[in-house]
Amino acid sequence: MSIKFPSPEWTQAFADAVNANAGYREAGKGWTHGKVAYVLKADPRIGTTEDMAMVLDLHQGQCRGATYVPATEAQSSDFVIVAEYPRWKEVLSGEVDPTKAMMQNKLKLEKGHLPTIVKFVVASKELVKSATAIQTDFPAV
Amino acid sequence: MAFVVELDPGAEDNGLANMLATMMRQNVEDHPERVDIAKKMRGRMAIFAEDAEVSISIDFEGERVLFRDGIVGVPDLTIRGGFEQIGDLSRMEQVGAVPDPRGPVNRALFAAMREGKLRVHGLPRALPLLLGFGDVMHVA
Repeated sequence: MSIKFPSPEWTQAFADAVNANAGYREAGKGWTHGKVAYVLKADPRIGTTEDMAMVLDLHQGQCRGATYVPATEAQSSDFVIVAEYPRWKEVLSGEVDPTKAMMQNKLKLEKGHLPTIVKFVVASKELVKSATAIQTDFPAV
Repeated sequence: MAFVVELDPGAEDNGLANMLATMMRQNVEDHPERVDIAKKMRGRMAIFAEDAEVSISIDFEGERVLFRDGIVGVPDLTIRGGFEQIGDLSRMEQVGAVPDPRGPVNRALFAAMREGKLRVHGLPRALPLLLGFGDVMHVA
């Protein structure tokens, strides 16, 4: 059964998919740099009237927890990456590589240490690969 | 005078320019000794991530590094390649100040150069610019 994106259920499925991904376990084993928040800009077309965030508590190749919260509650995360819904859809469905999306200004690092992200670029790709394993219902816009 | 990394007003919406300017700022904060390397660099470098269809120019002016949108004028050094190779340039493994030929990232980059997926124009004259850029942007 497909899970609606974005939602608390999808965020939990994302965490489960990350923990099931051996590639992420290996690539992310050195990650001790804290939580990562994926912020979706408000988009009434998909039913979000305020910016929302999926916050992943990543540590040494595992996702210790995930929450779907208003973006204002995600600002304490160590890394905050922001994009519009159509851009997240492209990245999380595997259509567009996250590094390419950043180069094209489709994803923006609003907070965090970019050299650390670049150092863990393989782990970042594996995170996205995890998301593609979820049967997702992306609303059409 | 203080060392500054600036984005040209026209480069604010260029993701690659934003990424590399942020990386350079954070790298010199983390490794202040790299300021001296950057200050000694002179010339214009261009980077074109062909499959991402984004290009930038970087002017090294001593106390200031300016990131600009697109390829401006005639650069001293031009790097053209896929976004993967461009992204990997800052992950090159080094032994001292030179690239380690055994490193997996370096091997992939050398293979990309052999296959024409990564092209560097302006060598050997602009070699100091290339090596300096590698040192300042290095993240591993």
